[in-house]
Amino acid sequence: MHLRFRLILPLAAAMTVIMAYPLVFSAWISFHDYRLTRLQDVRFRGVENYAFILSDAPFGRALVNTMTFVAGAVSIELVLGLGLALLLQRLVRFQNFARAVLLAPMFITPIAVGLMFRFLLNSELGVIPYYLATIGVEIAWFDERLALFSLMLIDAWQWTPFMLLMFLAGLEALPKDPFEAARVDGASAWITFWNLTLPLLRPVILVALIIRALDAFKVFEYVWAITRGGPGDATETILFHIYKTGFRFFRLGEAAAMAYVLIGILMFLVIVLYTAMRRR
Amino acid sequence: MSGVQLKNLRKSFGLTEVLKGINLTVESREFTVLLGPSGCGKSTTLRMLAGLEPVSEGEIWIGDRNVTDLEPRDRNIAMVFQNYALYPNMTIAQNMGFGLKAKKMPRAEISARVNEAAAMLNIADLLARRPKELSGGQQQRVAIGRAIVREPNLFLFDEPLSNLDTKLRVEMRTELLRLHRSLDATTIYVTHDQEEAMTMANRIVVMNGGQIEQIGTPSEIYFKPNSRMVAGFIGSPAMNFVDGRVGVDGLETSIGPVAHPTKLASGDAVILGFRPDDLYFPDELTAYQAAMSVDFTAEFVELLGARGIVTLRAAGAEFKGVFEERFLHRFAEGATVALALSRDRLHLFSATSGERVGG
Repeated sequence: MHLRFRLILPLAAAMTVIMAYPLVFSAWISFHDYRLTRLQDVRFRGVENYAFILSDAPFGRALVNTMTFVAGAVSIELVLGLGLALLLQRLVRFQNFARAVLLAPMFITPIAVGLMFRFLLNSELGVIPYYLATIGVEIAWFDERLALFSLMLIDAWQWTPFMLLMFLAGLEALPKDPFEAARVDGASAWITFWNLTLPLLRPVILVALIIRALDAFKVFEYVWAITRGGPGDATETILFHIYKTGFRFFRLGEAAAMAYVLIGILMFLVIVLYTAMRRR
Repeated sequence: MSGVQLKNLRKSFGLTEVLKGINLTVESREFTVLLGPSGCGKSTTLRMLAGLEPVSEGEIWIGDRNVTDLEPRDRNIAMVFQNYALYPNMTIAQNMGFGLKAKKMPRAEISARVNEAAAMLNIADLLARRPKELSGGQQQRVAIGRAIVREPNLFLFDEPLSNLDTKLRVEMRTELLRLHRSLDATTIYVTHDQEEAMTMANRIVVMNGGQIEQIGTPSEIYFKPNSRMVAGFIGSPAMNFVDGRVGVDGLETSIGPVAHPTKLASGDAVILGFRPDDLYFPDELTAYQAAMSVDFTAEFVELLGARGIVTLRAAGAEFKGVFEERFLHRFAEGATVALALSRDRLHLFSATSGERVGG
C-alpha cells in the first residue's frame, strides 16, 4: 500500500468506528421495527417508520416547538449580542474585563445551567420570583404559556456572549475609513448603523446565525433538566421527543427515523443560510 | 466659501506632543498645501480640521464659526481620504449621494447633483457599479465626487493621489486643479510629495516635527527657503550643503572662500546651500555674479532625458549638479570640472538654529 494511504489509515479507521458505523447502523435501524424490549424479533418495515412520523402529531408539535425556540432564542441573542458588541466597541477600557465576565456562561455545561435556572426561577423557592414579587410582579416562569419562552431566555443567557464575541471580532475587523468618511459626510449614528455597519457585518452575522441556529435546534439539556417537555407538551422539542421515543418507549426504529428527518431539516437550513451568505 | 483659521493648535497623544502650536490662516478660495515628511503632523492637523481627531488645545475657525468642539457633521466640510474610504456595500451613486441622504435631501435632488458631479468627473457610466469593481483612479474620482456633491465650505484632501501610479497621479493633479478652478473652493491638501505641492498650491505650508517651518507661495518656498530643513526638503535632487564660517570679508568653507556679504559676526558657524541647478560653467557668469569657483571631480552621470544629474566630489564631500544633456560629455568619470556658484543663488543658514541668515 502506498505510504500516504497507510498514513491516513488510523484516522480513517477511527472515523469509521466512531462516525460511519453509528450512522449506517442507525440508518439501518430506521428501516426496521427495532424495539429494545423485543430485540429477538427485529423486523424490516421499509419506510413505515418515516410514514409514521408524518402522522405522529407529537412529532409535529415538537417540530413547531423547536422552531419557535430556535427563532426566539437566536433572535434575542442576535439583538442583544449586537447591541452589547456595539456598546463594548466604544468602551475600550472595559473590553477585556467584559469579555472575561461574559465568557463565563459559555464555560458552564448546559445541564448545570438548566438545573441552576430551575432553582433560580422556581415559583416557590426561586430567588428571581421572590424579588420580582417584592416589586409586585408575579410571573409563573414554567407555566404552559411561558415555559418555552423561559427556556429561550435561559439559552440567551448562556449563548448571547458567543454572539457578542463574534460580533466584536467582526466589528474590530471592519475597515475604519468608511466610518470616518461617514462621520465627515454628516451621517448620524443611526444612519451609519443601518447603512454601513449592518451591511458590512452581514457575513459575520450570517455565520453566527448558522452556528447558533444549528446548536439551538439540538436543545435538550434545559428541557430535560427543567420541564421534561411539559407542562403538557409545551416544551417538548425534537431532540427530547426523539429521546422519549427511543429510550422511554424503547421504539428505536421510529426514533432513528426521526433523527434522520432532523438531519434533513438541518441540512436544508444550512443550505438556505449558506446560499444567503454566498449571495454577494 | 469661507476661510480657515488655526489658532495655536496643539495635539498630544498621551505624553507625546505631535502638534506644537499651529497658527495658520487660509484665505477663502485658496488652495493650500500642507507639506512635510512623515510624522510631521500634517495629517493630524487635517484630521483635527475635519473633526475626526479631538483638539488638545487651541481653536479652529471655519469662516466666522468656532468649530473646535463641533462634530464633523456640523462643520460642513468634505474630505477625500488616501485610500478613498468608499462605502463598499453601496453603489457608486449611493456612495456619492450618502452625505445628501444623511441630510434628508429629496431623492430627485440627490440624483440630479450626483449625475452632475459624475458627468464632471467622467464617471457617469459607473454609477450602478460597486467600489471593488473600479480601478484605483476611478475610485478616487468617486471619492472626489462624493466631496463635490456636498457643496461644502471647505475641501480637505489627505494624500489623495499617493495610492495611484505616477502617470495617473500627474493626470489627476491637472484634473484636481481644473476642478478647483471651476468650483472656486477653499481647499486644504496634505501631501508629502513636493512636486504635488509645488504644482498645485497657491500657498505651501511646510511642516516639520509638529511645527510650521515656513508658509509661502511655491516660488518663495523654493527660492527663499526659511530654514535648512525647508531648503533640504524642497527640490529634487536635494540642495547641496557645505559647512562654513564667517570670515573677514566673506565666508570660509570646506570647498574654498566665498565672496558673500553677511550681517553675521566674524567666526559664526554657517551652512552654505546651493541647488544642483545653480552650478554654472565659469563662462556663464560675469565676474560680479560669480561668488566662487570650485574644481569638482566628476563621478557619475544619470541621464534623465533632456537633462542629467551629475555626482561630483570636492574636498571629500559629495555634491549633485543638474546640467543640460549637451554639456554632459564634460563629466566623464574622473574628469576635473571647474564650476562657479552664482552670488544671487546662494542660501545661507545658521549652523546652530538652521534659520536662514542671508543669501
